[in-house]
Amino acid sequence: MKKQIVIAAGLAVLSTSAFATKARLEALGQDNGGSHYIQDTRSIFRNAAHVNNFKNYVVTEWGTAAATAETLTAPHAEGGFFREMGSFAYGLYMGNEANAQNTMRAGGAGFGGTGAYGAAALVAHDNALDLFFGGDMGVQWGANVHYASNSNEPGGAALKREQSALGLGLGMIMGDLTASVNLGLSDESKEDGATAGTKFDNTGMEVNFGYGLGDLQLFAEYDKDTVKFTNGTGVAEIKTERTELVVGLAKTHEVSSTARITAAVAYSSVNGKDTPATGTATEVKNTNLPVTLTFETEANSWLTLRGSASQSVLINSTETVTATTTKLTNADTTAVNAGATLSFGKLKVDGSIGAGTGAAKAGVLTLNTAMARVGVHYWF
Amino acid sequence: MKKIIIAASLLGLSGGAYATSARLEALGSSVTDNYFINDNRSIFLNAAYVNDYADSMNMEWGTAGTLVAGTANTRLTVSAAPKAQAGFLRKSGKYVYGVNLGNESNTGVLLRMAAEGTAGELLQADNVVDVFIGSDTGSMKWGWNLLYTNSKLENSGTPTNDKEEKNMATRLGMIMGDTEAFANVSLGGESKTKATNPTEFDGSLGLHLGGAYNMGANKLVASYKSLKWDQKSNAFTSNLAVAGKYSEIVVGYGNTKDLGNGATLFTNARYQITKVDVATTNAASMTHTVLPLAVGFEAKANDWLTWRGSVSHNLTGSVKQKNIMGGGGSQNVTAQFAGALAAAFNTDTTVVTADVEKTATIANNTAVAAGASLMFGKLTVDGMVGSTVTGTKVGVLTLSNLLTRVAMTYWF
Repeated sequence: MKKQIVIAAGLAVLSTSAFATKARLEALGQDNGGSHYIQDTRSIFRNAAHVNNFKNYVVTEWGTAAATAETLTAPHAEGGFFREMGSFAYGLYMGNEANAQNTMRAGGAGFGGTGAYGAAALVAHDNALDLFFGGDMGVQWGANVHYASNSNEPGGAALKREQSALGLGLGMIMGDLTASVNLGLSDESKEDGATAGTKFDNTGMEVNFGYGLGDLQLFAEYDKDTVKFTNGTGVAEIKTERTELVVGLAKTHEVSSTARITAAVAYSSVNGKDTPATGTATEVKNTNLPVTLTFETEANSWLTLRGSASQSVLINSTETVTATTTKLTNADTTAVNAGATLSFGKLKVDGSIGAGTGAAKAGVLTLNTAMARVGVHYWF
Repeated sequence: MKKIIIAASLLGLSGGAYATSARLEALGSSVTDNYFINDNRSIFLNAAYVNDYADSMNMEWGTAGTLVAGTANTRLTVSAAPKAQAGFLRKSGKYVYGVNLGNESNTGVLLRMAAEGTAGELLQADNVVDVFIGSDTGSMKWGWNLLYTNSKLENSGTPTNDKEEKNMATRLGMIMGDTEAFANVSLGGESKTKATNPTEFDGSLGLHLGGAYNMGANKLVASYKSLKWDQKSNAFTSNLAVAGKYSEIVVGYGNTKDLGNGATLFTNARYQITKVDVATTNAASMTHTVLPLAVGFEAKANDWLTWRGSVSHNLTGSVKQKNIMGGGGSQNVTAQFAGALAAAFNTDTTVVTADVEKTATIANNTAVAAGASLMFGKLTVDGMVGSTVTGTKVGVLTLSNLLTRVAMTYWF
């Protein structure tokens, strides 16, 4: 599937408090973990201080309860509520799971695409809970604690399997300046049963920075994730790492109070490295300079339509380093997405449109699957 | 069942409000070379039209296109599986500038296949970037475009598996009163492997020259297209170097009649000759001659819905071919290229005797198409109507595929 590039910008006008959900962000070509320049309730996951900007609402994202990696047509169920309390705001969110790591945890490949960094016996990162709290004292601040704990004690010869995760997010918004850091302090799954000593251990860090210059938004992001895995007592530990650097610029044009367009460009470098117990490490470096165009407009009183297009230009390559080095241009990076919001007063239904019943988008508007990745939010 | 396709030139129906491949296809027009219908797609034929579509953003839904059979990376854009593309045009003072992403050429894909010894061997012109600029001086509108692609595959362990592709083209157009003219030039496109016996497609200077003259509601058009290339293929004995040529001549007439109440009738006919010659040992040649008549309509049903439809039919149409069959060695074009020509130009791949010339009428050329636009103020959603997800039209209006080849245009 073609990659999309997301550019974040400060959106101050188009009733931003009314917009929330992964569907909206994906239709606008953004990372559904929060955009750098398009405000959305999902921004709280990138910068917890946004809990002060999005409050007094309930959100539900339709989907399955499975803990495996989600897709556009099989998303995960999650949701929460957020409320103001004087000059403070707080919220509770359920189901925000580490999907990529769960796939790896079950025996999937590392960030470099090789090896097996998990085992089927390990308990997934599941039933996650996020607590948010923030305040506005001239400077907006916010904190997020992420917690998950699961276990499986089959009894008999098979002993205990357990998983626990703890994360912390801190963010601030001071005028045009935004900054946040999100730490994955621990995400550990271990098995003391048939393969005693099996252990999956993930830690991570994400740092975000943004600065607004009128209708321009500068942004930068640095991510690092490390997974260590050992398949039993005495088995050599293997490691996989992922680092990501994004630097970009976005410009927003407010066409009217009910419509806006954005254009953005960002340099993105994602590096995945798999280090086996023996043999040569595999390193995959993906470098892109994507351009993203988006629009969002209220078509009428009950319908908002949005769309995005992105493509890598000038810089667009994937380099794989093993014993030899292969470098290729990423094909078919042009991606177009669309979405809609149905508004019924304070109740809004978001979804992706044109996704059809499969992952492929063949340019078809179908009423069989009118909207995919549906999210419903109610503002009170 | 015979279908009639009617295509019409829209000169008067608020040309600035309509744009997209779906609209052109519903009106029976070629999406690639649209000679008669004013649409934002016209900027790819005559770059001066950027002045008519300023301050708009256009997005065409799709994915990577449809995969050519037997290949892993050769894709065409077709109605049932269009390639995603998008762009914007913005006015700044006297000038209009813009960028379009992903407008890939099916002709380019077809010609590169001529050189391939193995299906999908060559990198295609991918991740296309088009940059536009134009201006309206009052007496004349002009526009200029630059197209660029660049792809590589490098393997330090096996450098003979390396591949590279690059392509650059420019378009120059003008509209002065009733006269239009354009010159679209391919500055050189090449795609090659680095194998010991490499496969290479090396396009030399390509030209697409043309013009039109408007006489009220009538429009006369003429154009000439010529693309030449040199190819080497490891499918050919001793890596034989072969020259190829693609040419096309179009002469046509169109009429647009305003029927009132927001309805327009379009009629056009064009005489088009397309030739492909490849200098294999058994020299391959194909001449595709058509004279299609197209009649189309476009009407506003209400404030939020516009319907359109067309029927077209070849008044005359034939294909003459010689040595268009696959085979080994250096005698003939590859089976893959023969198949591609058959799909595009109705050649017959069952004619396998060397130097036998066959001429046949193009069968089943009556076609009907329909489309609609949903209008929400400055946002328009276009699509084809009556096509299934596979692109076939069996006379059914279905909600499963309410609109296909969907595109969204926003005017700001």
